[in-house]
Amino acid sequence: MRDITLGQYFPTDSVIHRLDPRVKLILMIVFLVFTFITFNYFALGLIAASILMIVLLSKVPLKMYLKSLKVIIIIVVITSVLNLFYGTGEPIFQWHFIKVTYNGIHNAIFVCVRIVCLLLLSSALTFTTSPTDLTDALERLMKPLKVFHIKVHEIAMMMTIALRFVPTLLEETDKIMAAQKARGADMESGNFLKRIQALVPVLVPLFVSAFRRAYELATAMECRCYQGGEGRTRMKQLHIQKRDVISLIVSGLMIAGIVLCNIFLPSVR
Amino acid sequence: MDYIKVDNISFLYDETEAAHRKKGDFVLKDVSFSVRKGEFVALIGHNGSGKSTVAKHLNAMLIPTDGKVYIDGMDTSDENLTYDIRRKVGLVLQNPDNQLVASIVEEDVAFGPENIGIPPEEIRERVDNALKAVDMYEYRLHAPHKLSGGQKQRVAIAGIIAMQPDCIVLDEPTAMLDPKGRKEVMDTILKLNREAGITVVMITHYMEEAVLADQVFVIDNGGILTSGKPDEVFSQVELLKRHRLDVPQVTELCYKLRSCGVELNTLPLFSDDCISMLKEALR
Repeated sequence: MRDITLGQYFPTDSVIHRLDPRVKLILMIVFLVFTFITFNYFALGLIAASILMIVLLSKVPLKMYLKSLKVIIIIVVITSVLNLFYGTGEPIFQWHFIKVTYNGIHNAIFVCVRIVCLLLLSSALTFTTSPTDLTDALERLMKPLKVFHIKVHEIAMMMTIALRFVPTLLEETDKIMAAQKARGADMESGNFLKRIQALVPVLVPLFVSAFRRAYELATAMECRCYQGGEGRTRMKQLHIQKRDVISLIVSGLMIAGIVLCNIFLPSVR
Repeated sequence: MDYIKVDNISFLYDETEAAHRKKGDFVLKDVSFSVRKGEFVALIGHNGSGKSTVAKHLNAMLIPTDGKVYIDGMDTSDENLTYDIRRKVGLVLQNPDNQLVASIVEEDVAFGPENIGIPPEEIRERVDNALKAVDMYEYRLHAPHKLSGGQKQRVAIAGIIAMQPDCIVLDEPTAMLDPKGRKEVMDTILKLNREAGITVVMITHYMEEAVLADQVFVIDNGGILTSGKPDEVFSQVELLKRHRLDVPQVTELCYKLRSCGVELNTLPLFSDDCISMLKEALR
Protein backbone atom coordinates (compact mmCIF):
# COMPACT_ATOMS: atom_id res chain seq x y z
CA MET A 1 0.00 0.00 0.00
CA ARG A 2 2.95 2.27 0.69
CA ASP A 3 4.08 2.34 -2.90
CA ILE A 4 1.09 4.21 -4.25
CA THR A 5 2.45 7.20 -6.09
CA LEU A 6 -0.02 9.97 -6.45
CA GLY A 7 -0.51 11.26 -9.98
CA GLN A 8 1.91 8.57 -11.12
CA TYR A 9 4.86 10.85 -11.72
CA PHE A 10 7.36 9.09 -13.98
CA PRO A 11 10.69 10.93 -13.97
CA THR A 12 12.79 10.85 -17.16
CA ASP A 13 14.98 13.56 -18.66
CA SER A 14 12.69 14.51 -21.55
CA VAL A 15 12.00 17.99 -22.88
CA ILE A 16 8.43 17.71 -21.67
CA HIS A 17 9.60 17.04 -18.12
CA ARG A 18 11.75 20.14 -18.15
CA LEU A 19 9.06 22.47 -19.41
CA ASP A 20 7.72 25.05 -16.99
CA PRO A 21 4.75 23.46 -15.19
CA ARG A 22 2.66 26.57 -15.85
CA VAL A 23 3.22 26.23 -19.59
CA LYS A 24 2.34 22.55 -19.44
CA LEU A 25 -0.84 23.22 -17.52
CA ILE A 26 -2.01 25.96 -19.88
CA LEU A 27 -1.18 23.94 -22.98
CA MET A 28 -3.03 20.96 -21.60
CA ILE A 29 -6.17 23.00 -21.03
CA VAL A 30 -5.95 24.58 -24.48
CA PHE A 31 -5.43 21.23 -26.22
CA LEU A 32 -8.25 19.68 -24.23
CA VAL A 33 -10.60 22.43 -25.31
CA PHE A 34 -9.54 22.10 -28.94
CA THR A 35 -10.05 18.33 -29.05
CA PHE A 36 -13.71 19.20 -28.63
CA ILE A 37 -13.79 21.99 -31.21
CA THR A 38 -12.89 19.87 -34.18
CA PHE A 39 -15.45 19.66 -36.96
CA ASN A 40 -13.66 17.60 -39.60
CA TYR A 41 -11.12 14.82 -39.91
CA PHE A 42 -8.26 17.17 -40.76
CA ALA A 43 -8.67 19.09 -37.54
CA LEU A 44 -9.16 15.91 -35.54
CA GLY A 45 -6.09 14.35 -37.17
CA LEU A 46 -4.03 17.42 -36.45
CA ILE A 47 -4.88 17.47 -32.73
CA ALA A 48 -4.40 13.71 -32.43
CA ALA A 49 -1.00 14.06 -34.12
CA SER A 50 0.09 16.84 -31.75
CA ILE A 51 -0.97 14.83 -28.72
CA LEU A 52 0.83 11.75 -30.02
CA MET A 53 3.92 13.89 -30.51
CA ILE A 54 3.75 15.03 -26.87
CA VAL A 55 3.35 11.41 -25.77
CA LEU A 56 6.40 10.33 -27.78
CA LEU A 57 8.49 13.30 -26.63
CA SER A 58 7.76 12.55 -22.96
CA LYS A 59 10.04 9.46 -23.14
CA VAL A 60 7.65 7.68 -20.80
CA PRO A 61 7.25 4.04 -21.92
CA LEU A 62 4.16 3.60 -24.09
CA LYS A 63 3.21 0.71 -21.82
CA MET A 64 2.42 3.25 -19.10
CA TYR A 65 0.02 5.10 -21.40
CA LEU A 66 -1.60 1.85 -22.50
CA LYS A 67 -2.10 0.93 -18.87
CA SER A 68 -4.05 4.11 -18.21
CA LEU A 69 -5.99 3.60 -21.46
CA LYS A 70 -6.99 0.15 -20.32
CA VAL A 71 -9.02 1.65 -17.50
CA ILE A 72 -11.35 3.53 -19.83
CA ILE A 73 -11.49 1.14 -22.77
CA ILE A 74 -15.01 0.03 -21.79
CA ILE A 75 -16.27 3.59 -21.68
CA VAL A 76 -14.75 4.24 -25.10
CA VAL A 77 -16.37 1.15 -26.59
CA ILE A 78 -19.81 1.80 -25.07
CA THR A 79 -19.99 5.47 -26.04
CA SER A 80 -18.71 4.71 -29.55
CA VAL A 81 -21.27 1.97 -30.09
CA LEU A 82 -24.10 4.12 -28.75
CA ASN A 83 -23.08 6.96 -31.03
CA LEU A 84 -22.87 4.56 -33.94
CA PHE A 85 -26.53 3.56 -33.62
CA TYR A 86 -28.00 6.90 -32.68
CA GLY A 87 -26.96 8.83 -35.76
CA THR A 88 -29.49 10.81 -37.73
CA GLY A 89 -30.03 10.88 -41.48
CA GLU A 90 -30.30 8.22 -44.22
CA PRO A 91 -29.53 4.75 -42.89
CA ILE A 92 -26.92 2.83 -44.86
CA PHE A 93 -27.68 -0.33 -43.00
CA GLN A 94 -30.83 -1.32 -41.18
CA TRP A 95 -31.85 -4.37 -39.22
CA HIS A 96 -35.08 -4.07 -37.23
CA PHE A 97 -34.71 -1.01 -35.05
CA ILE A 98 -30.91 -0.88 -35.41
CA LYS A 99 -29.76 1.48 -38.08
CA VAL A 100 -26.36 2.76 -38.97
CA THR A 101 -25.94 6.10 -40.71
CA TYR A 102 -22.90 7.97 -42.03
CA ASN A 103 -23.57 10.51 -39.33
CA GLY A 104 -23.44 7.75 -36.71
CA ILE A 105 -20.13 6.43 -37.97
CA HIS A 106 -18.60 9.91 -37.91
CA ASN A 107 -19.87 10.50 -34.41
CA ALA A 108 -18.48 7.21 -33.18
CA ILE A 109 -15.02 7.93 -34.59
CA PHE A 110 -14.99 11.45 -33.19
CA VAL A 111 -16.03 10.39 -29.71
CA CYS A 112 -13.54 7.55 -29.62
CA VAL A 113 -10.59 9.70 -30.72
CA ARG A 114 -11.57 12.53 -28.39
CA ILE A 115 -11.74 10.38 -25.28
CA VAL A 116 -8.45 8.69 -26.08
CA CYS A 117 -6.81 12.09 -26.69
CA LEU A 118 -8.21 13.41 -23.43
CA LEU A 119 -6.75 10.55 -21.47
CA LEU A 120 -3.38 10.51 -23.23
CA LEU A 121 -2.97 14.23 -22.64
CA SER A 122 -3.85 14.18 -18.97
CA SER A 123 -1.64 11.13 -18.45
CA ALA A 124 1.20 12.93 -20.20
CA LEU A 125 0.81 15.84 -17.76
CA THR A 126 0.82 13.72 -14.62
CA PHE A 127 3.62 11.47 -15.87
CA THR A 128 5.89 14.41 -16.58
CA THR A 129 5.07 16.80 -13.71
CA SER A 130 5.60 16.09 -10.03
CA PRO A 131 2.58 16.80 -7.79
CA THR A 132 4.51 19.56 -6.03
CA ASP A 133 5.27 21.33 -9.31
CA LEU A 134 1.66 20.94 -10.31
CA THR A 135 0.25 22.58 -7.16
CA ASP A 136 2.92 25.26 -7.46
CA ALA A 137 1.90 25.98 -11.05
CA LEU A 138 -1.77 26.02 -10.06
CA GLU A 139 -1.14 28.55 -7.32
CA ARG A 140 0.77 30.86 -9.63
CA LEU A 141 -1.73 30.56 -12.46
CA MET A 142 -4.72 31.17 -10.22
CA LYS A 143 -3.17 34.26 -8.67
CA PRO A 144 -5.32 36.64 -10.75
CA LEU A 145 -8.41 35.04 -9.18
CA LYS A 146 -7.51 36.85 -5.97
CA VAL A 147 -9.45 39.78 -7.39
CA PHE A 148 -12.61 37.72 -6.82
CA HIS A 149 -11.58 37.03 -3.20
CA ILE A 150 -10.77 33.42 -3.95
CA LYS A 151 -8.22 32.18 -1.44
CA VAL A 152 -5.72 30.93 -4.00
CA HIS A 153 -2.80 30.50 -1.60
CA GLU A 154 -4.92 28.61 0.92
CA ILE A 155 -6.21 26.21 -1.74
CA ALA A 156 -2.68 25.49 -2.93
CA MET A 157 -1.51 25.04 0.68
CA MET A 158 -4.28 22.54 1.32
CA MET A 159 -3.28 20.58 -1.77
CA THR A 160 0.37 20.59 -0.71
CA ILE A 161 -0.48 19.33 2.78
CA ALA A 162 -2.89 16.72 1.42
CA LEU A 163 -0.20 15.37 -0.89
CA ARG A 164 2.34 15.40 1.93
CA PHE A 165 0.08 13.37 4.22
CA VAL A 166 -1.14 10.75 1.73
CA PRO A 167 1.79 8.37 2.37
CA THR A 168 1.76 9.08 6.12
CA LEU A 169 -1.93 8.23 6.44
CA LEU A 170 -1.59 5.16 4.22
CA GLU A 171 1.16 3.90 6.49
CA GLU A 172 -1.04 4.58 9.47
CA THR A 173 -3.95 2.68 7.88
CA ASP A 174 -1.65 -0.31 7.43
CA LYS A 175 -0.66 -0.13 11.08
CA ILE A 176 -4.23 0.17 12.36
CA MET A 177 -5.36 -2.71 10.16
CA ALA A 178 -2.56 -4.86 11.51
CA ALA A 179 -3.45 -3.82 15.06
CA GLN A 180 -7.12 -4.68 14.55
CA LYS A 181 -6.25 -8.00 12.92
CA ALA A 182 -4.05 -8.80 15.90
CA ARG A 183 -7.13 -8.24 18.05
CA GLY A 184 -9.08 -10.70 15.95
CA ALA A 185 -10.78 -8.43 13.42
CA ASP A 186 -11.78 -10.27 10.26
CA MET A 187 -11.41 -8.13 7.16
CA GLU A 188 -11.03 -10.64 4.37
CA SER A 189 -14.08 -12.87 4.57
CA GLY A 190 -17.81 -12.26 4.29
CA ASN A 191 -19.79 -10.49 1.61
CA PHE A 192 -19.28 -6.96 0.39
CA LEU A 193 -21.44 -5.41 3.12
CA LYS A 194 -19.68 -7.34 5.88
CA ARG A 195 -16.30 -6.21 4.64
CA ILE A 196 -17.37 -2.61 4.59
CA GLN A 197 -18.59 -2.99 8.16
CA ALA A 198 -15.23 -4.47 9.10
CA LEU A 199 -13.59 -1.21 7.95
CA VAL A 200 -15.35 0.88 10.60
CA PRO A 201 -12.90 -0.05 13.39
CA VAL A 202 -10.11 1.00 11.04
CA LEU A 203 -11.63 4.28 9.95
CA VAL A 204 -12.54 5.58 13.41
CA PRO A 205 -8.99 5.54 14.83
CA LEU A 206 -7.69 6.79 11.50
CA PHE A 207 -9.93 9.84 11.63
CA VAL A 208 -9.10 10.52 15.27
CA SER A 209 -5.42 10.41 14.51
CA ALA A 210 -5.82 12.54 11.39
CA PHE A 211 -7.48 15.26 13.45
CA ARG A 212 -4.73 15.09 16.04
CA ARG A 213 -2.13 15.35 13.31
CA ALA A 214 -3.92 18.34 11.82
CA TYR A 215 -3.95 20.08 15.18
CA GLU A 216 -0.25 19.47 15.76
CA LEU A 217 0.62 20.50 12.23
CA ALA A 218 -1.24 23.77 12.75
CA THR A 219 0.81 24.40 15.89
CA ALA A 220 4.04 23.60 14.05
CA MET A 221 3.08 25.92 11.18
CA GLU A 222 2.31 28.75 13.58
CA CYS A 223 5.66 28.18 15.27
CA ARG A 224 7.23 28.72 11.88
CA CYS A 225 5.53 32.09 11.49
CA TYR A 226 2.88 30.95 9.00
CA GLN A 227 0.36 33.76 8.53
CA GLY A 228 -1.27 32.82 5.24
CA GLY A 229 -0.22 34.00 1.82
CA GLU A 230 0.34 37.67 2.70
CA GLY A 231 3.98 38.71 2.53
CA ARG A 232 5.15 35.24 1.68
CA THR A 233 8.04 34.64 -0.71
CA ARG A 234 8.95 31.44 -2.53
CA MET A 235 12.32 29.73 -2.71
CA LYS A 236 11.68 28.19 -6.11
CA GLN A 237 11.22 30.76 -8.81
CA LEU A 238 9.82 29.74 -12.17
CA HIS A 239 11.40 31.32 -15.20
CA ILE A 240 10.10 31.01 -18.72
CA GLN A 241 12.93 29.62 -20.83
CA LYS A 242 13.64 29.22 -24.51
CA ARG A 243 12.11 25.74 -24.64
CA ASP A 244 8.92 27.05 -23.05
CA VAL A 245 8.64 29.78 -25.68
CA ILE A 246 9.32 27.30 -28.48
CA SER A 247 6.71 24.87 -27.20
CA LEU A 248 4.20 27.71 -26.91
CA ILE A 249 4.91 28.77 -30.50
CA VAL A 250 4.67 25.22 -31.88
CA SER A 251 1.43 24.64 -30.01
CA GLY A 252 0.12 27.98 -31.23
CA LEU A 253 0.81 26.95 -34.82
CA MET A 254 -0.97 23.65 -34.24
CA ILE A 255 -3.99 25.42 -32.81
CA ALA A 256 -3.98 27.87 -35.72
CA GLY A 257 -3.89 24.90 -38.10
CA ILE A 258 -6.89 23.35 -36.36
CA VAL A 259 -8.82 26.60 -36.51
CA LEU A 260 -8.02 26.98 -40.22
CA CYS A 261 -9.09 23.40 -40.92
CA ASN A 262 -12.33 24.04 -39.08
CA ILE A 263 -13.05 27.19 -41.06
CA PHE A 264 -11.95 26.33 -44.57
CA LEU A 265 -12.60 22.63 -44.86
CA PRO A 266 -16.14 21.28 -44.95
CA SER A 267 -17.36 19.95 -41.65
CA VAL A 268 -18.48 16.33 -41.69
CA ARG A 269 -21.76 16.86 -39.95
CA MET B 1 21.60 39.98 30.48
CA ASP B 2 19.03 37.21 30.48
CA TYR B 3 17.85 36.19 27.05
CA ILE B 4 14.70 34.47 28.26
CA LYS B 5 13.11 35.77 31.42
CA VAL B 6 10.09 33.94 32.80
CA ASP B 7 8.70 36.15 35.50
CA ASN B 8 6.39 34.52 37.98
CA ILE B 9 3.96 33.02 35.45
CA SER B 10 0.79 31.11 36.20
CA PHE B 11 -1.31 29.53 33.53
CA LEU B 12 -4.79 28.12 33.16
CA TYR B 13 -6.01 26.76 29.82
CA ASP B 14 -9.57 28.02 30.27
CA GLU B 15 -9.01 31.67 30.95
CA THR B 16 -12.64 32.67 31.54
CA GLU B 17 -12.68 30.57 34.67
CA ALA B 18 -9.40 31.92 36.00
CA ALA B 19 -11.08 34.21 38.48
CA HIS B 20 -13.14 31.43 40.05
CA ARG B 21 -10.42 28.85 40.32
CA LYS B 22 -8.14 28.11 43.18
CA LYS B 23 -4.39 28.23 42.64
CA GLY B 24 -4.35 24.45 42.77
CA ASP B 25 -6.15 24.13 39.42
CA PHE B 26 -3.51 26.03 37.49
CA VAL B 27 -1.30 24.13 35.07
CA LEU B 28 1.60 26.39 35.97
CA LYS B 29 1.98 28.05 39.35
CA ASP B 30 4.35 30.98 39.93
CA VAL B 31 7.10 29.68 37.67
CA SER B 32 10.16 31.89 37.33
CA PHE B 33 13.47 31.19 35.67
CA SER B 34 15.84 32.77 33.25
CA VAL B 35 18.15 31.59 30.50
CA ARG B 36 21.28 33.41 29.35
CA LYS B 37 22.28 33.71 25.71
CA GLY B 38 24.15 30.67 24.40
CA GLU B 39 23.17 28.48 27.31
CA PHE B 40 21.91 24.90 27.04
CA VAL B 41 19.07 24.39 29.46
CA ALA B 42 17.17 21.17 30.15
CA LEU B 43 13.67 21.09 31.60
CA ILE B 44 12.76 17.77 33.15
CA GLY B 45 9.61 16.49 34.73
CA HIS B 46 7.22 13.61 34.24
CA ASN B 47 4.06 13.57 32.12
CA GLY B 48 1.53 16.20 33.08
CA SER B 49 4.01 18.24 35.10
CA GLY B 50 3.46 21.26 32.83
CA LYS B 51 6.79 21.20 31.04
CA SER B 52 5.30 21.33 27.54
CA THR B 53 3.12 24.22 28.65
CA VAL B 54 6.26 26.08 29.68
CA ALA B 55 7.75 25.42 26.23
CA LYS B 56 4.74 26.92 24.48
CA HIS B 57 5.06 30.07 26.58
CA LEU B 58 8.55 30.69 25.26
CA ASN B 59 7.48 31.49 21.70
CA ALA B 60 4.16 33.15 22.43
CA MET B 61 2.08 30.12 21.45
CA LEU B 62 0.56 30.51 24.91
CA ILE B 63 0.29 33.72 26.90
CA PRO B 64 0.54 33.44 30.69
CA THR B 65 -2.63 34.07 32.69
CA ASP B 66 -0.55 35.88 35.32
CA GLY B 67 3.02 37.07 35.10
CA LYS B 68 5.15 37.83 32.07
CA VAL B 69 7.56 36.13 29.72
CA TYR B 70 10.27 38.28 28.14
CA ILE B 71 12.27 37.13 25.14
CA ASP B 72 15.29 39.36 24.56
CA GLY B 73 13.37 42.10 26.36
CA MET B 74 10.16 41.59 24.31
CA ASP B 75 6.95 40.88 26.19
CA THR B 76 5.17 37.80 24.73
CA SER B 77 1.74 39.17 25.63
CA ASP B 78 2.22 42.05 23.16
CA GLU B 79 0.42 40.87 20.02
CA ASN B 80 2.45 43.13 17.75
CA LEU B 81 5.60 41.30 18.75
CA THR B 82 4.26 37.73 18.38
CA TYR B 83 5.92 37.03 15.04
CA ASP B 84 9.15 38.82 15.98
CA ILE B 85 9.34 36.50 18.96
CA ARG B 86 8.64 33.41 16.87
CA ARG B 87 11.45 34.38 14.51
CA LYS B 88 13.83 34.52 17.44
CA VAL B 89 12.62 31.45 19.30
CA GLY B 90 11.90 28.36 17.22
CA LEU B 91 9.87 25.49 18.67
CA VAL B 92 10.48 21.88 17.63
CA LEU B 93 7.73 19.46 18.61
CA GLN B 94 7.74 15.84 19.64
CA ASN B 95 6.30 14.08 16.61
CA PRO B 96 8.47 14.73 13.56
CA ASP B 97 5.76 13.43 11.20
CA ASN B 98 3.28 16.10 12.20
CA GLN B 99 5.51 19.12 11.75
CA LEU B 100 6.73 18.64 8.20
CA VAL B 101 4.60 20.54 5.71
CA ALA B 102 5.96 19.86 2.23
CA SER B 103 6.58 16.61 0.37
CA ILE B 104 10.20 17.45 -0.45
CA VAL B 105 12.79 17.95 2.30
CA GLU B 106 14.27 21.20 1.00
CA GLU B 107 10.86 22.72 0.40
CA ASP B 108 9.89 21.95 3.94
CA VAL B 109 13.01 23.64 5.28
CA ALA B 110 12.19 26.64 3.08
CA PHE B 111 8.71 26.93 4.60
CA GLY B 112 9.78 29.07 7.57
CA PRO B 113 11.94 31.56 5.65
CA GLU B 114 9.22 31.81 2.98
CA ASN B 115 6.71 32.76 5.68
CA ILE B 116 8.81 35.64 6.92
CA GLY B 117 9.35 36.99 3.41
CA ILE B 118 13.07 36.36 2.83
CA PRO B 119 14.18 36.98 -0.80
CA PRO B 120 14.40 33.74 -2.88
CA GLU B 121 18.20 33.68 -3.34
CA GLU B 122 18.75 34.07 0.38
CA ILE B 123 16.23 31.32 1.18
CA ARG B 124 18.20 28.95 -1.07
CA GLU B 125 21.37 29.81 0.83
CA ARG B 126 19.74 29.47 4.25
CA VAL B 127 18.12 26.15 3.34
CA ASP B 128 21.42 24.70 2.12
CA ASN B 129 23.24 25.89 5.24
CA ALA B 130 20.54 24.63 7.58
CA LEU B 131 20.52 21.20 5.93
CA LYS B 132 24.31 21.03 6.14
CA ALA B 133 24.18 22.00 9.82
CA VAL B 134 21.99 18.98 10.62
CA ASP B 135 23.85 16.69 8.18
CA MET B 136 20.86 16.16 5.93
CA TYR B 137 22.11 17.99 2.83
CA GLU B 138 22.37 14.87 0.68
CA TYR B 139 18.71 14.11 1.44
CA ARG B 140 17.44 17.50 0.28
CA LEU B 141 15.39 16.11 -2.61
CA HIS B 142 13.94 13.15 -0.71
CA ALA B 143 10.35 12.75 0.41
CA PRO B 144 10.01 13.10 4.21
CA HIS B 145 8.00 9.91 4.66
CA LYS B 146 10.92 7.85 3.34
CA LEU B 147 13.28 9.10 6.08
CA SER B 148 13.87 7.55 9.49
CA GLY B 149 12.48 9.18 12.64
CA GLY B 150 15.84 10.71 13.59
CA GLN B 151 16.31 12.08 10.09
CA LYS B 152 12.81 13.56 10.06
CA GLN B 153 13.42 15.26 13.39
CA ARG B 154 16.70 16.68 12.05
CA VAL B 155 14.82 18.05 9.04
CA ALA B 156 12.35 19.65 11.46
CA ILE B 157 15.27 21.22 13.33
CA ALA B 158 16.72 22.43 10.01
CA GLY B 159 13.36 24.04 9.25
CA ILE B 160 13.71 26.07 12.43
CA ILE B 161 17.40 26.89 11.92
CA ALA B 162 16.67 28.23 8.44
CA MET B 163 14.74 31.03 10.13
CA GLN B 164 18.02 31.89 11.91
CA PRO B 165 16.63 32.03 15.44
CA ASP B 166 18.69 32.95 18.50
CA CYS B 167 17.11 30.19 20.49
CA ILE B 168 15.58 26.78 19.83
CA VAL B 169 13.06 25.25 22.20
CA LEU B 170 12.66 21.50 21.77
CA ASP B 171 9.66 19.76 23.29
CA GLU B 172 10.74 16.16 23.86
CA PRO B 173 12.37 15.93 20.44
CA THR B 174 13.68 12.42 21.07
CA ALA B 175 10.63 10.87 22.75
CA MET B 176 9.41 9.04 19.64
CA LEU B 177 12.81 7.98 18.32
CA ASP B 178 14.84 4.79 18.57
CA PRO B 179 18.24 4.95 20.34
CA LYS B 180 20.09 5.61 17.09
CA GLY B 181 17.77 8.46 16.10
CA ARG B 182 18.00 9.85 19.63
CA LYS B 183 21.76 10.01 19.43
CA GLU B 184 21.66 11.68 15.98
CA VAL B 185 19.29 14.35 17.24
CA MET B 186 21.21 14.93 20.49
CA ASP B 187 24.51 15.27 18.60
CA THR B 188 22.88 17.79 16.28
CA ILE B 189 21.47 19.83 19.17
CA LEU B 190 24.81 19.85 20.99
CA LYS B 191 26.63 20.86 17.82
CA LEU B 192 24.24 23.75 17.24
CA ASN B 193 24.65 24.91 20.81
CA ARG B 194 28.44 24.60 20.99
CA GLU B 195 29.42 25.61 17.47
CA ALA B 196 26.70 27.98 16.31
CA GLY B 197 26.09 29.46 19.78
CA ILE B 198 22.34 28.94 19.59
CA THR B 199 20.57 29.03 22.94
CA VAL B 200 18.86 25.69 23.53
CA VAL B 201 15.97 24.94 25.86
CA MET B 202 15.28 21.24 25.75
CA ILE B 203 12.42 19.44 27.40
CA THR B 204 13.10 15.80 27.99
CA HIS B 205 12.39 12.91 30.25
CA TYR B 206 15.65 11.17 29.48
CA MET B 207 17.99 12.02 32.33
CA GLU B 208 20.96 10.93 30.22
CA GLU B 209 20.17 13.86 27.93
CA ALA B 210 19.60 16.33 30.73
CA VAL B 211 23.09 15.79 32.18
CA LEU B 212 24.58 17.32 29.03
CA ALA B 213 22.96 20.69 29.77
CA ASP B 214 24.53 23.71 31.46
CA GLN B 215 21.52 24.14 33.67
CA VAL B 216 18.67 21.83 34.66
CA PHE B 217 15.22 22.87 35.84
CA VAL B 218 13.05 20.21 37.41
CA ILE B 219 9.34 20.88 36.96
CA ASP B 220 6.80 19.09 39.07
CA ASN B 221 3.10 19.73 39.46
CA GLY B 222 3.26 23.10 37.69
CA GLY B 223 6.12 24.56 39.68
CA ILE B 224 9.90 24.45 39.73
CA LEU B 225 11.01 21.80 42.18
CA THR B 226 14.72 22.43 42.01
CA SER B 227 17.28 23.80 39.60
CA GLY B 228 20.99 24.18 39.11
CA LYS B 229 23.92 22.56 37.37
CA PRO B 230 23.29 18.88 36.45
CA ASP B 231 25.56 17.58 39.25
CA GLU B 232 23.77 19.79 41.79
CA VAL B 233 20.34 18.62 40.67
CA PHE B 234 21.06 14.94 40.33
CA SER B 235 22.88 14.71 43.65
CA GLN B 236 19.46 15.25 45.29
CA VAL B 237 18.47 11.67 44.58
CA GLU B 238 16.00 11.41 47.50
CA LEU B 239 14.09 14.53 46.47
CA LEU B 240 13.79 13.40 42.83
CA LYS B 241 12.73 9.91 43.84
CA ARG B 242 10.06 11.28 46.11
CA HIS B 243 8.59 13.10 43.12
CA ARG B 244 8.70 9.96 40.97
CA LEU B 245 11.58 11.25 38.85
CA ASP B 246 14.60 9.27 37.76
CA VAL B 247 18.26 10.07 37.95
CA PRO B 248 20.80 8.86 35.36
CA GLN B 249 21.49 5.14 35.69
CA VAL B 250 25.11 5.61 36.74
CA THR B 251 24.08 8.11 39.43
CA GLU B 252 21.50 5.68 40.74
CA LEU B 253 24.01 2.83 40.77
CA CYS B 254 26.50 4.83 42.83
CA TYR B 255 23.73 6.13 45.07
CA LYS B 256 22.66 2.58 45.87
CA LEU B 257 26.25 1.47 46.38
CA ARG B 258 26.79 4.36 48.76
CA SER B 259 23.73 3.46 50.81
CA CYS B 260 25.14 -0.07 51.02
CA GLY B 261 28.30 1.33 52.55
CA VAL B 262 30.63 1.80 49.57
CA GLU B 263 32.65 4.96 50.14
CA LEU B 264 31.86 7.47 47.39
CA ASN B 265 32.18 11.22 47.88
CA THR B 266 30.25 12.46 44.89
CA LEU B 267 27.71 10.91 42.55
CA PRO B 268 28.79 10.65 38.88
CA LEU B 269 26.70 11.75 35.90
CA PHE B 270 28.56 10.04 33.07
CA SER B 271 29.56 6.41 32.73
CA ASP B 272 33.25 7.30 32.27
CA ASP B 273 33.30 9.13 35.61
CA CYS B 274 31.41 6.27 37.18
CA ILE B 275 33.95 3.71 35.96
CA SER B 276 36.94 5.66 37.26
CA MET B 277 35.18 6.32 40.56
CA LEU B 278 34.36 2.67 41.07
CA LYS B 279 37.90 1.67 40.16
CA GLU B 280 39.12 4.07 42.83
CA ALA B 281 36.66 2.72 45.40
CA LEU B 282 37.51 -0.90 44.67
CA ARG B 283 41.23 -0.41 44.98
